[in-house]
Amino acid sequence: MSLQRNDPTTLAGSLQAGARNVRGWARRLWQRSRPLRQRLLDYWQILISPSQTLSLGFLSIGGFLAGIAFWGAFNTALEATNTETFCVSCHEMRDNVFQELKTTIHYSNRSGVRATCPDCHVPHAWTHKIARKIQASKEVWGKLFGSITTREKFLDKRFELASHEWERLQANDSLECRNCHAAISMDIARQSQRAASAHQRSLFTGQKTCIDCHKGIAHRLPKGAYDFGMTQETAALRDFLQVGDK
Amino acid sequence: MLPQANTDIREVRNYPEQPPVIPHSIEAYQLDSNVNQCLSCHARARTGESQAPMVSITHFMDRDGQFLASVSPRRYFCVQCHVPQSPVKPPIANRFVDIDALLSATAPARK
Repeated sequence: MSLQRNDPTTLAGSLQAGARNVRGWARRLWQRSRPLRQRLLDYWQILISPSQTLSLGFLSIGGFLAGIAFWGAFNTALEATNTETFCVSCHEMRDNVFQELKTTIHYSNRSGVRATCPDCHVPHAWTHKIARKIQASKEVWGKLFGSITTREKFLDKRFELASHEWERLQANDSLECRNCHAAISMDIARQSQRAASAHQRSLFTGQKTCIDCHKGIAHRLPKGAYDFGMTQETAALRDFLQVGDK
Repeated sequence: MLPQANTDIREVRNYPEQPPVIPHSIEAYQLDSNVNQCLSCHARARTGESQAPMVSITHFMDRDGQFLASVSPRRYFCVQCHVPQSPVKPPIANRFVDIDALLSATAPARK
């Protein structure tokens, strides 16, 4: 089977004046795309024809080994970008959110068990992990174009960034929290009265999810996270003094 | 840092003007000009969900005696007056007696 590249006869077919007279855009498109269809068909013929120079063994075993190598490399790269070391290798993360995490119970506590960045920010199940990774490619864009090169830029963007995480956790019923904190394993007798009744009332009934009440558990809350109870006067005073978020 | 008392049981005030103490731990609560995490339970609109006592209406008043829609800026920083407790034994005993004890001690004995 030979390729008919730049075959004037097929190309000419679509350029015939007659094609213009055909009624209906779909039919016109079908006729005009004939050279493209022809070429795809040619490639398909190559794909389904037996190999002429490479042995079957080379192709099958080699293909199998190449597959292992590709998959291994893919997963290694995936896991390498799924570590805290990788996250804090950028100053955007290291100087801002990571410093805040260090003061919280998810980093420093009596038992020494701790959460790393991806524990909370990347889903553990493979499909969802890939989806999140594709989403996170936007962060590479942000890094390349310097959207958070300074502390001030971070503070300006912080509410929006936090909102994305809150929305994500609200949508997946706080999946990343529940990877460690299972409602079924909560001994509410060992919780404070306040926590026990809140969990019984809202969590066990499914009315609320973790993030609804536990925003800011591992980082400082941005301006605007809880504006209720803050008067316009307080907000105005805050903006006038331009204080906060140290 | 000492662990904070977390009983969730209201403490008796020693005198009527005393700001009530906080009967729960407020460790890691954020209270700055950006966010007041106390208000996430104690704000008027939040008390239904949280079942926490509402911030007193006196806190809505500004210095001109005008009541605002919510907590006045001068009352915004809760821990200026309200503090959590730690279960410790004071090295020096407190000799404070409340007004009821004082009145009954000084009242003329009835015959």
